[in-house]
Amino acid sequence: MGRNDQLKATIAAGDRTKVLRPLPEVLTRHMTDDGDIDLDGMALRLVDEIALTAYELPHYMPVAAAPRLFRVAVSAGDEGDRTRLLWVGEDDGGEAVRRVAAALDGMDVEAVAGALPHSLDMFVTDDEVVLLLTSDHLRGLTEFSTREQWRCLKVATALSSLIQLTSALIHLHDAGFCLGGVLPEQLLLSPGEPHLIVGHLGQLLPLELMTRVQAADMLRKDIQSVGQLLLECVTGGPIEERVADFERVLDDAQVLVDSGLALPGLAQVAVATLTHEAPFAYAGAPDLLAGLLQMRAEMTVSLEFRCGLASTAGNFPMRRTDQDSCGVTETRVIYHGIAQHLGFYCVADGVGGEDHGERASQVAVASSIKAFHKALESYPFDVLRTNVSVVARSVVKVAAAELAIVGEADPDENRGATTFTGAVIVGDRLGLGHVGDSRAYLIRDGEITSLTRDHTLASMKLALGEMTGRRAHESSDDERRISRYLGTGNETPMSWIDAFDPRLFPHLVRPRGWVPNGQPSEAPAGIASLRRGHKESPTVEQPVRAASENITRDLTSERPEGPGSDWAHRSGVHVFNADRELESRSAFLDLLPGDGILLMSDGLYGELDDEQIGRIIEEVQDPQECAHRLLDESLKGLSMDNVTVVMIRAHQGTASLRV
Amino acid sequence: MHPFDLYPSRRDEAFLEPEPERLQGWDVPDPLDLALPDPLPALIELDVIRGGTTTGTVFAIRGPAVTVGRYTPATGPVDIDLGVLQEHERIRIGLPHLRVGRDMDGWWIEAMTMYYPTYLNGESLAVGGARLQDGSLLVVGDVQFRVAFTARADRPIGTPRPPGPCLRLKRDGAPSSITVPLNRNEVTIGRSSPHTGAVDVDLSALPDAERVHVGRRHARFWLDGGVWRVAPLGRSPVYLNRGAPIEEPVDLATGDEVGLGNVLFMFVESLPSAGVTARRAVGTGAL
Repeated sequence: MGRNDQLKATIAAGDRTKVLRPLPEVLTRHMTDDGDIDLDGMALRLVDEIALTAYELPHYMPVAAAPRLFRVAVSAGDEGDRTRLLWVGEDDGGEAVRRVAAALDGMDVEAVAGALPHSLDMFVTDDEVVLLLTSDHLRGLTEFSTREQWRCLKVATALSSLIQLTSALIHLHDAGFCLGGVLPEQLLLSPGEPHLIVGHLGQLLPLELMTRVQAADMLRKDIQSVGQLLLECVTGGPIEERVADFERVLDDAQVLVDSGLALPGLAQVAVATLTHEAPFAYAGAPDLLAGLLQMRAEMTVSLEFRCGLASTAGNFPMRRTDQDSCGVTETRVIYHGIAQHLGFYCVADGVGGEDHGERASQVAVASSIKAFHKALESYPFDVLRTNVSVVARSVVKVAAAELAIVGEADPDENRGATTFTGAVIVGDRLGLGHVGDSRAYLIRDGEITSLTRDHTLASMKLALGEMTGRRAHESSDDERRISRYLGTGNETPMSWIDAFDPRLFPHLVRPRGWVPNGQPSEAPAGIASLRRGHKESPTVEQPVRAASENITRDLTSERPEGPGSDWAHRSGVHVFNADRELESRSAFLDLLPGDGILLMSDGLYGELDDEQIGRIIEEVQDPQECAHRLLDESLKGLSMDNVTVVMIRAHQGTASLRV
Repeated sequence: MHPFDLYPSRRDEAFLEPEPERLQGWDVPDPLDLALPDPLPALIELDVIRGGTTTGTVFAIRGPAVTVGRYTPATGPVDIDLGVLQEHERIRIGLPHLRVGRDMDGWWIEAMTMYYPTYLNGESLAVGGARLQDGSLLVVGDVQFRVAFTARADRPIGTPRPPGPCLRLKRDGAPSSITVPLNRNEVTIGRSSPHTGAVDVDLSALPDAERVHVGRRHARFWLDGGVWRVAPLGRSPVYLNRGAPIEEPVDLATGDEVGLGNVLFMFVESLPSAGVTARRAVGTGAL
């Protein structure tokens, strides 16, 4: 049995105490072409290395003769402000170990028996930073990383690892040690886990033995190496030639866009670690940590949305055209350093002979999406978020105006009309603009709620008390005729466009003053800028601004001012009631992770009842699959109508680079 | 209370819009201050009652003779358009439904439709009119109103007549201070857009409830031998003095009411109380 086999056998037996720790550089050097490790040629060197490490570098880890395991855990956080050090290993360990403990002043120290500490692992978990002094080097054999693997790592994982490494660096620096730089080869990664194990910190250097200049240089090297690691992972290639790019960022922000690095946080870390300006940017590891956390915040949305679309003409033999249209547009912005989702989703069900209906629904969808993009360009995120319902209705209004233009330009070719249900999601808020008999459902905790009411004759009769709720379901075709629509004849007035009305759904609405994830709640700025004509007419500017301040206050106060408020008089004819505007602006729904939103044309709910729809949505999690399933199920009947579905799901956000 | 009673009627939406034209990709200049609220005070307020209480959704009467009802292109303009109510409320509202006016003895009310119910304090108005009192309960179709006289109800005032030739915008039965000057030989009026081209007078800045009735290229006013004339430019209806939509050019005289859809204008010549001769003289002289 050769040494190699012996080693393997030992590994297999799990007897770790007898196996010596190979250093990662050594491992890399000894990798054969097929990735296997030639352990034979290595073992001898290992002994030498260890001897060197253990005895010839006295400031590193002068170890006692007996093998021991020391585990130093620095757990950050929960117990007050003091960081707590967990010491696992015999208390009669080497002098340097005590020095580390002493330097990390005031921490609890525990010790258990263990193996010879001949290297230091920084072993970081989600809630604690562990410095692992161990001879458990098998990890190094099974989970190691080359530079390439590091480059292929998901940026979010790498970033999270680097944040933990940086936290560890802060502790080390505070304790009077530094690493003098970390190379990707030194990183031992556990695949699939966000944990980073830094192997071979043989260069754990005490700062007190250096001159001040040397020490500053070494600390800088630590910080710089983290920046290098980050950039290597993000760019997926060597960063040496890119440093010049980052230098240019200082002069020209366009470089950011050119290099595809749209995250301000990433650029900041890059510039502050790699360029010649670096010494002036980050004073130390805490600054670096702040930069990394900022970048992670920019990559993380609190709520992520995924959606699926599907549409069919239905299987009724006499109906061959799909007059429905649907559309989706999504993007992200970074606001207050946090990535935010912006999305517009809509369903339009065209009516009208020949292809008039089809054209009407297409025009409505296309123009509303254009309008939404325009809204994104025109208004900052906080204004959009505060006025999400106003935005949703205005987008529908634009679709109405465009249809009227089309109708007026060519009345003979455009006689169609369309229903329209559009959902605007800004951050975690949903606003609706709704005309006609398409519907928006909310699926929360397995319960289905219709967020819209149909604008049909049946629903009118229901409101007039001429029809009971049960009969509304089995209403005739005549009663299902729509009473509101976006038409090509007359432009649909704003008053026809419904919003989400929170008063009808008290169980869905959070109490006032609720702040989602500590984000800025109500943004007072910019409301006035949504108003028409107030820039051009200084005479009304003053009351309008006063009014908006009034409203902003009202949003947080318990009782909104009534119709008799001062503002109602000042703002004149067309506002009868200050309360109205308040309602319209607070007419949004706060979305939660796990929520589903379903937009559909009447073809779907005509075929499937709410229970069936709810069951399918529960069963199929993926939104696109879910949309297809809903369509398939509706086609099992003789679906007389076109069916169109837009399914949106909200998820707890994860970090990703998609910006 | 029925849940639908909770839905607000949205007559006030003009104030809320983030400028649809801006979202469409162009800006709306408002040199005529069309978006300004009307300075004329209300004479009578009709406050919608839902679920037994007044809602604060108020329709104001500002002139001494108004029609109330719904506007449709076929039936022509009304002064106070109740079409902005919910559809279950407006389904039994006539087009027009009733008239409210003022004479020497005070305010009167008269039903204009036989088909839909009109009650004042429980009395049907189907035959003949009645005197209108402060605090009355008015039922129009399926909608109930509380009639409230304001302090101005007994002494209506107008705004000073502007120098002509111009069009004064009428709101809620009274000519407002908003005027469209006719300061060229020929003026096209409508709503400018990149698709349909620009018009001389762009009414896009009007509040939404009024704007939707205005076509993109709606009407043409021009001076023809000293007389201002009007004609429609497309299919959007132009009404003269509440008649049928005009199709041929029509001469205008001071006091004529021109309806572009349901947006009503009062035509004003240059000189007050001018006869035909004076009108001619001013028409040529002004230009």
